[in-house]
Amino acid sequence: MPLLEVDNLSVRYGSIKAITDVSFHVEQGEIVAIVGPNGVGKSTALNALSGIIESNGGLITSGEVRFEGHNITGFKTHELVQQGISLVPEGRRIFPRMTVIENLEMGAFTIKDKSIVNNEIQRMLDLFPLLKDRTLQQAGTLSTGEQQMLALGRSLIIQPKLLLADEPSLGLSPNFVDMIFEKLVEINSEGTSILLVEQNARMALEACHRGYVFEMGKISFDGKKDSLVNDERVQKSYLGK
Amino acid sequence: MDYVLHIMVIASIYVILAMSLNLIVGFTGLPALGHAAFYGIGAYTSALLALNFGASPWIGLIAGAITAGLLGFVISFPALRLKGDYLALATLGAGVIVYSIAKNWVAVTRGPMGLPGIPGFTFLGYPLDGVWAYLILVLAFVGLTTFVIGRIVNSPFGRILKAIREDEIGTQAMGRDVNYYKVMVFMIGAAFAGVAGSLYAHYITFIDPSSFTLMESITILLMVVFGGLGSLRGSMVGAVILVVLPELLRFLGMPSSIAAPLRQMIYGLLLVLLMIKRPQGLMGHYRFK
Repeated sequence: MPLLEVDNLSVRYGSIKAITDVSFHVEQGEIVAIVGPNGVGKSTALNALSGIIESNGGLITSGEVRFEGHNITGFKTHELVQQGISLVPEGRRIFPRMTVIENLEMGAFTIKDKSIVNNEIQRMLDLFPLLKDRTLQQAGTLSTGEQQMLALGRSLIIQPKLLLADEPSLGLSPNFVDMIFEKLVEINSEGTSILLVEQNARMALEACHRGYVFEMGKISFDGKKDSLVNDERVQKSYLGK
Repeated sequence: MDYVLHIMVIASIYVILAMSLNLIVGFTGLPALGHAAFYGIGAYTSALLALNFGASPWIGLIAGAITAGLLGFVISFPALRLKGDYLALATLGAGVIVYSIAKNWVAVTRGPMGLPGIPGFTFLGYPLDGVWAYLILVLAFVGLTTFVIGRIVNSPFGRILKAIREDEIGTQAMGRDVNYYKVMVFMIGAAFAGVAGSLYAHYITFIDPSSFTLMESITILLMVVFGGLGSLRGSMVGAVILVVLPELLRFLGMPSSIAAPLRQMIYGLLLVLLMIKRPQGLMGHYRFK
């Protein structure tokens, strides 16, 4: 049984169909990348399963989302955390006027035991050493890349089974893009499955195990990492070869 | 002397209003422009209970807090769907509706004729005579409001409110039901405004719809912004200054024919200057996005 299964998902905003009959899945332990150009519904697909779609005025018209076998279609964003799904929202969405530590503590809000919280925060600081010297700095004063590290750390504190990452490389300097993808692979090797939505197809396809290519609200093709990286269409359209 | 004490009572009532609005606008970041509605429904509930059923003002005060809280519950629903300017407009609309009801439901509220002869507060069977006694009563409620709202904003609950102000989607992604907190904040803020309304009604002994207009909502919001969003001390200072300042301008000795408009202009000018020099308010750290 796959960890996450999405069957025939369709979403529309008002009368505009954003995605139609999209199906994909994430196996236990995988990094799955969803790539494709701007405005083809990659983020819509992720938002539909993370519940953000509703506050954006979107509507799921058909389809089903299952996590560990049970139906989570239409769950609200905050309900996912209890399921063990953690979201790194697009644009990072850190709390700018809270310190780095306070941001991490917010991520640990569902953990009751104080000592576990402290351990987890320490674990995140070890995972992202860049944040270590800045624990008392206001998060809004961090660079975009550091903020992305913080957003990632904040979402990992609850030790999710599945991490949903929406455009984690958006707006980052090349160094940080490399670093973010290294971290994602590292997190994955420690057992967290990852669903990654990315415009940076090259990086995403290199980091993933499998990928789906979106075009015009549909999945045009999918496959394992190697077959995608070597696919002519992918090379031509996304990898610039 | 009574004049000074009277100003202090009024200022204290506004302190309660400003702090309760600050919980919604300053600490949670929800721009709300209908606070006079909660203030008014608290005043009317308390006054009508006393006039029609001879209820004690204490009962009226509790009932006023409850009805205002329920109104806050209702008004919070647009807050779940709307953001920013749109929420401000929706709450403004709610304020206008409550005002219109007070003005037009003559059978109950006597409309623009108002409700005269509202009995005063009693304490252990003794009527509170004189402005002194009222000042102590109102100050006690200022203390209670400060304590309760202070505890709320410094608790884990308050942390979430701050997070909602900072980033709603981020808060949801942390597993928090943002809607629950918004509803709670509106109810609590409204209930305290209802208390302020009851205190006002039994102190002045006469209320009419003109005390609960849109201008009143704006004045309370001004106090909050002036003192500083997200600062309880700021709300105290803001409310006191904005009540006392116009009174002080009375003593400038201007010719009576131009005194009133000139007073308004000086008042307005001071507000503009402060907002230019210190947009985060006197004691705030945070400004509107």
